[in-house]
Amino acid sequence: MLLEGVAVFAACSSVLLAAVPEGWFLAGSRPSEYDCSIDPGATYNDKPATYLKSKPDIKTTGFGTMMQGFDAAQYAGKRVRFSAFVKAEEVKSHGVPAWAGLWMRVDGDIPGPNKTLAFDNMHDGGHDRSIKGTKEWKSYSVVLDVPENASKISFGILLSGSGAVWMSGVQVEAVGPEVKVTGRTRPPM
Amino acid sequence: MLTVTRSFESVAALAACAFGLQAAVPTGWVLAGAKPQEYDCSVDPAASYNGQPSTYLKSKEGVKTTGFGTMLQDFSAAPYVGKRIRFSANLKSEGVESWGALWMRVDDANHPKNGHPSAVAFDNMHDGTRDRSIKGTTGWQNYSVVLDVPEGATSIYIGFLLDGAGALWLNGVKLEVVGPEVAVTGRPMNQPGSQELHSGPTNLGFEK
Repeated sequence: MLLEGVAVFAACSSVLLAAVPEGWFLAGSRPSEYDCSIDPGATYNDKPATYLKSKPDIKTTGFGTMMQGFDAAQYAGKRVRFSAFVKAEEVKSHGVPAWAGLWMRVDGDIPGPNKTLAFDNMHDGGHDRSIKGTKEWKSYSVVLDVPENASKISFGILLSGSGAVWMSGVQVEAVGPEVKVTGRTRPPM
Repeated sequence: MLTVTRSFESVAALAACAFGLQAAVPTGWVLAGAKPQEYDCSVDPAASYNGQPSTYLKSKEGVKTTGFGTMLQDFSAAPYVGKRIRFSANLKSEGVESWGALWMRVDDANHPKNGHPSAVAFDNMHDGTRDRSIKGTTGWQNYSVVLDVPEGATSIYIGFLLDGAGALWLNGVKLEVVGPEVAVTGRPMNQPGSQELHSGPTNLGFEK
C-alpha cells in the first residue's frame, strides 16, 4: 500500500456508521468488509475498547480503518505521538495481505492531489512494525513531526485481511525531541 | 483574474517546465505535480481521437518515478460561482502501474489557511468515496469530475495526472455548467458549517 493509496478514505454510509463510537468513523479502501463498534466484553485497564473486525464469510479485498481527523493548528511545528493499546485475534491473509496497525497522517492545504505532509502506518516505509496473527494487549505508537503548514491530522487503526483488532486507551499528545519519529515527513516544496 | 502566480509559488516544481524546458506542452497548459521532471507531456499527432488532437502524459524512460505528474491549467472561478460544473475528457492509458485520473479543485484565495488558498471542493477520481481512477491499459473512454463552485471561490484548477510509470492520453476536454440532475463526484472541503474540523481529537476513551 502506497502513501497515496492509504489516502483513499471512503466515508461510509450512515447505515454502516450506526455502531461506530462518537467522533470516529469507519473508512478505508473497503469499509463495507469490516465492522467496528465498542465491545462491552473487552475492556482493558477498566477502560472501554473498540473492535475492528472483518465481516464473517467475506474474502477481504481491501483494508478497513476506524479513524478521525482534526484541525492541526494546535500541533503545528510540534512532534505528535498517537498511542493506544491494541490486541489482535487471528489477523491473517484472506484475499489481501494481513496486517493491522495504528496510523497517522498529516495533511496540508497544498496544491495537487497529494496533500500528505507526514505519514506512518507501522507497515509501509522501511521498518514493518505491523501487527499480525494473535497478540495480547500491548501499547503501540506512531510519532510524526507536524510541519508549520499542516492543516489536518488524521489517525486511526486499520486492518487489512481477516481477523479482529481491539483498541483502548487512545492518547494524542505533543512530545519532546527525545521521542523518536516513526514516520516520514515530506520536505517542504 | 488568474492566479497563476500563486500556483507557481506553492508547487515549487510547477514552474520548472513552463518556461522553455517543456516547449512541447500545449499552449495554456503547464506540467506540474510532485515530480514533473519525471514526466513528459506533449501533443501527440499520432493519437487523435474523434478527429481531434490528443496530448500525452508519460513517465520518462529509464526514470523510477517518485511522485506524480500532472498537466493542468487554472482560471477564474467568477463565471461559475454558485454553479455546478463538469470537467470531462476522453482518456486512454498504457501500462499505468499506479493510477491516472482527471482532477479538479476549487480554491478560495480570500480565506487562506497557513498561507495558501483554501481548497473548497476537490475530486481526483481516487481519494474520495470511490476509486474511479485509471489503471493498466485501457481504450478511449469518457471520464468526468463534477463539483459545486461555492460562493467565495476564486479559482478553478483542472488537469489530468499520472502517478507512477505508464502513459495517459487526453482528448476532447470540456468544461461546462451542468444542472442539479448531474451528481457531484467530489466533496466540499473546509466550508464553514459543513465540514468544520474538530479543534482536537475526540472521544479517545470510547466513553460515548
